[in-house]
Amino acid sequence: MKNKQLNRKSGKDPSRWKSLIGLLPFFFFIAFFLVMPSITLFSGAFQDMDGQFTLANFSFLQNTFALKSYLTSIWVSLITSVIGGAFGFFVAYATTSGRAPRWMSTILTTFSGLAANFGGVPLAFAFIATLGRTGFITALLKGICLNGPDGAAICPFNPYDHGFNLYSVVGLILAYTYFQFPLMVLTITPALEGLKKEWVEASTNLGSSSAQYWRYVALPVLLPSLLGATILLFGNAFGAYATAQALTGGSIYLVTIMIGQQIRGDVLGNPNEGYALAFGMVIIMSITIFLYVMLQRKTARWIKS
Amino acid sequence: MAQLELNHISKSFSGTIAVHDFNLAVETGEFISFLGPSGCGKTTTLRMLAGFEIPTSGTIRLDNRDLTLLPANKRNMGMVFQSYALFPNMTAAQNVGYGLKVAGKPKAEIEGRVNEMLDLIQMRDFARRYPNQLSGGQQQRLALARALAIRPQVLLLDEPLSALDAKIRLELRQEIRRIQQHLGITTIYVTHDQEEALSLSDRIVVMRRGVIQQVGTPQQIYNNPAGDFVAEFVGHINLLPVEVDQPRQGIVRLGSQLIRAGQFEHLNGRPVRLAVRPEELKSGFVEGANNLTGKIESVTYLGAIVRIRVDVDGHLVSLDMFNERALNIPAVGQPYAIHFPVGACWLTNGEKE
Repeated sequence: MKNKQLNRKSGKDPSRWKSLIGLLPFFFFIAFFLVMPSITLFSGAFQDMDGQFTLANFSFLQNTFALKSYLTSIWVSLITSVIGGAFGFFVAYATTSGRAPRWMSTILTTFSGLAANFGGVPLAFAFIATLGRTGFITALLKGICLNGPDGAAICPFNPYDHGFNLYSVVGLILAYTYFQFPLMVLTITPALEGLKKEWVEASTNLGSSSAQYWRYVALPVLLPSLLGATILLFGNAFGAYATAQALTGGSIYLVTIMIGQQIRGDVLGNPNEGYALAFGMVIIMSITIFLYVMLQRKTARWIKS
Repeated sequence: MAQLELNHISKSFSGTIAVHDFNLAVETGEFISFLGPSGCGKTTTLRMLAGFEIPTSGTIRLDNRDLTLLPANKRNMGMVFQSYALFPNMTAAQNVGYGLKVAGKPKAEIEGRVNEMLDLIQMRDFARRYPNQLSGGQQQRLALARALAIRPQVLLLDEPLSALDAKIRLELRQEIRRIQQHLGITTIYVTHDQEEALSLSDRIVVMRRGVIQQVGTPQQIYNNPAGDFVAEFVGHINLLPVEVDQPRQGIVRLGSQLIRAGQFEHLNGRPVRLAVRPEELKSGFVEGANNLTGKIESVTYLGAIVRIRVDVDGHLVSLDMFNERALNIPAVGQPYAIHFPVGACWLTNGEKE
């Protein structure tokens, strides 16, 4: 039998380099689909159509239309990560707390894995088919009567006559929440499962109420994971393009939609301005991640120690 | 009047009986151990005391107050868990002060009590450390201090030393007893380790399949076990199948060799076994004692003692000898004579497990 020999000088096993060969496809992928596009993006943001250095691509900073698109993107991402995050957290808690039957948690995990990746055109179509002007839930609602605020019956009840519009920011929030909450379920479930049953019992035994346990033990323990998951959700919504484009047809100006318009290749587009807009997104995500790291340092001192 | 009373406590989980008709009265300051194998109901009983399980029937009274249905956070019992259960996000001092904090005690009082408790476990210098910066033994001492900080009426310990290595276990065992005696606190200790129970307890409750087998002092449990289960579970014992030879003289036969055992009257025709502890057996022949001869089957070093197993007419008999420097260890296979006093053995008709 052949024995592995260690390098006398370094004391390292030379065969460990062999295992790195398996990672080569990953390194190639990162190089070609992350590093190189990023370099193109960063350099393109500071070049004009002829390849000359310019800062003109950032003129959108003076354009209220572009600035508003950033605000809308941030706002929609924030709202959907908070709503989806909270909803996902409670769903995950309900299944991990041991009160729900095991089959329910299996179904939820499977559904979450599917729904978290169900975005883009199919998701937009699914929402149009259900909550669109002729969607089947809209049709069902039209078949019932509801009592209005003044007590008078509203027959038939058409949500579109009462301010609802799927093709608006509200619709976008609804659609985004659909893939945000399962992502939260998937990311927070391991953290919730990490809460030891003995901690609740020890806390209760020492005289605490359930609220005190959550305030002093469970939430502080979960906080680093909650922050991480929320950042993930924010990034997920901030970079989403296809769902918004397919659902609203580009009528709501998100940064990603504006970038899409610039790089689509029609005569009105300017890819370099698109790169500059994307550069702005990178800056915003970097600031968000920086804030997250700062908060993480504060809330997770006990993990690092 | 006893401080803590468990009257006819039973507990079933979906039809399976975990504890059956458990009765116990505990005096103030007593150290009681629940001893038994896994699944005997000892932890379930402790959890019923703590309020984490509700008894299916029976009552629990503390200082003449019915606790049976009282929520766990209103019982004022301190509990120490096998896995320490320290809050990872809090420092050692914050962990110890947690019970006082949630009770709304003033800061100065919390600080004073925390320091007092940390001094008690000799960990004042570790006050600002997080649990993951402490060793297993330190974490368990901290868990003990946290449980004691609320000044509980009863201290509950659920196999607190099981997760620790042997040396730390021994040190911590002595420390638990020292602190318990210093505070004079009534303590219930759950363990499956008979040595722990024997060395720590004022009284031991031996349990099996949810039923109390015997309650008594360590000496009573070891020297006068109430049945084969207790005899076998607590310490080592030879339980040898014997035949009644001369009932009037109290003589039984092991293979072809006679043993004077006495106490025949309680046996009623069921299979008879002779019980004798390995440390009661000595090598050699002594006039007037029970003498047996056989061949050495194995010799095992256990540190302070050497266990010798002798094949006596097809039955293995263990004998323990102190491991002295001058000890002449017999060789496997050599003929060997052993003896034990008549009063050191007893007969049982219990069935072997």
